[in-house]
Amino acid sequence: MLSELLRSLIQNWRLPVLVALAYFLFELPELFTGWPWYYEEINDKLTLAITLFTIATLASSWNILAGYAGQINLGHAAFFGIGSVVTRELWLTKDYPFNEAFFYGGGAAALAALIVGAPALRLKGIYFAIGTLALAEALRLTIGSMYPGVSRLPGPELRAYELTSRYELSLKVLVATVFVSYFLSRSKLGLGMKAIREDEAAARSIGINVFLHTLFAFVLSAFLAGLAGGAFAYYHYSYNQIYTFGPNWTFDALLVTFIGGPGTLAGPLIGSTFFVLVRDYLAGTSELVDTHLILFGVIFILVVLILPGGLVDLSTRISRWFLRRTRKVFR
Amino acid sequence: MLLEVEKVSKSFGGLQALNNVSFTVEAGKTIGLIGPNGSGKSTLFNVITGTIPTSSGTIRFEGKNITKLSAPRVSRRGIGRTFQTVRPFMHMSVLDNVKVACLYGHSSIQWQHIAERRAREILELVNLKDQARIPAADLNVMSRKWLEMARALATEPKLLLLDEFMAGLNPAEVLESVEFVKRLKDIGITVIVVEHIMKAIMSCSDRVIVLNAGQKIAEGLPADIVRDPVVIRAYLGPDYAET
Ligand SMILES: Nc1ncnc2c1ncn2[C@@H]1O[C@H](COP(=O)(O)OP(=O)(O)OP(=O)(O)O)[C@@H](O)[C@H]1O
Ligand SMILES: [Mg+2]
Repeated sequence: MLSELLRSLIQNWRLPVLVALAYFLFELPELFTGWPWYYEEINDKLTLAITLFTIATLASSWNILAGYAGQINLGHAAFFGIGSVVTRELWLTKDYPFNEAFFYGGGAAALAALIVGAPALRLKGIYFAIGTLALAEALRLTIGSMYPGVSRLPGPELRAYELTSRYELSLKVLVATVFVSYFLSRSKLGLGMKAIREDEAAARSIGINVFLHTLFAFVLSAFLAGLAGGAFAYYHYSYNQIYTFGPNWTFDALLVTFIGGPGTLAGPLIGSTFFVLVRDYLAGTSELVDTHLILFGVIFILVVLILPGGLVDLSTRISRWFLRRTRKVFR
Repeated sequence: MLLEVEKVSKSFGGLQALNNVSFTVEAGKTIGLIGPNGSGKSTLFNVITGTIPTSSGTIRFEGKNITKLSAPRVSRRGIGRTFQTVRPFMHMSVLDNVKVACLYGHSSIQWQHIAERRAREILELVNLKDQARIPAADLNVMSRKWLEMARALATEPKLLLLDEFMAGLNPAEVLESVEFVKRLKDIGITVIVVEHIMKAIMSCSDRVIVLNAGQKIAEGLPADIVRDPVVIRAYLGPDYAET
């Protein structure tokens, strides 16, 4: 009994680590407020963190469908966009309380995924990927003509604006996404999805309804991306509504997930941290501003070719190698 | 009758893979299904399990029509199968391969810890207990076959369809598999085995059905089947009759 308890504790080490990490990140801005020499930079750091949280959320939510259920969605930005535009419009134009607008944003994205997914998920693989890309682009153009101008925070909101609450909301969305992924991956549904990813025919032969499982993954993934969009709508004081529908959001999510390790919890998080930090560093050295595109393109290709499991896999390989070495030494 | 197959046909374009096949399977029996390459054995399994639709005919399981049911539904009704070329969930652990079948399938266990315990019991049955934690991709061909068996059993089938499970095994392993199939019968699972190894078929089947070019050409006791001139001509060959 005790050994079983111990074993389950060891197997579930990720959960306490995640909780501790989340707690630490929530406290982080508070920690720095007393440090005057740091204060000048804090807004830059918060902005960078918000960008990181946004990309990490998009990657983790994209990974729910791609990494677990095995379908590549190339229209993920559409759900980010729907979440942001619905939240922004309800909040600023229709005067909804922000929290309500925010959840309507996520809900609208989920509903869109349900409507699109029902026919699109009858297609699989490359057809689904191209279909979602085409739909997202069509939606981007529609939104562009519906909301041509720049959306600005109105005066009172602007005067009350501070970054910490923005930081907290995008962190909350990320934490929610990571915990949803964590519990999903160990649930019955998550196991069923992985089986589908591995072999659809075999999954069907043991009673798994492929369509319902992939649809569920798609809707859940879209809901979380929609919430990320809502947090973005809260964060940015002025932007063009079409911006959140840009395909770059989808491809950033895809890229960092593959670099970090698809189908894993840590992969999208590690990948996006790596991506955002390196990009920020390159942006700081002025001649190299857009080189990150080339750099990450090359890294992406290398990872896909040499290390299909991503950085996460690299770390398990290294630790396995290390374990073997130490065992040899101690024998 | 557990299974009733009635005038089932299946064509792929111009190719008639199954032609008016009818037979019934009584609960608790082990049926051997034999026939030359391309005679439609795997196709028959595919239509029974709902993997591919029939062109015409009716399939009843426990008296209920299952002809139009999808594969997952058929599995939940209690028909399990293995594939001729094994298809394990490669990047999942051996344990998860079996556990997921316990959670779905006819067993549909709702609690993970119960499913996990059940999965371990089944892995013990097929001697894969010690490999539970490794990814299925790391198993050798032989172990993958047993994993496929374990996964099919984990759905708790009433009827189990084994498609050339013994192909590629050495004589000792064939013997072991035959014993295993006999044990399945003892625990009340009805089995249909497709096999080319006649000795194996003879020693574990209560009855044998012979397919040739999509048609059932004979059905009967194993001892009668091997002496049937029609079967000898179509499948076994004159050499077999002499030995
Ligand atoms: N999906 C398919 N599409 C087209 N033709 C098919 C398909 N599946 C099977 N066939 C054809 O149907 C016929 C019967 O094939 P089947 O696999 O059922 O034979 P089998 O008795 O299992 O043979 P074997 O002993 O080689 O496994 C073959 O001619 C095969 O080429
Ligand atoms: Mg076959």
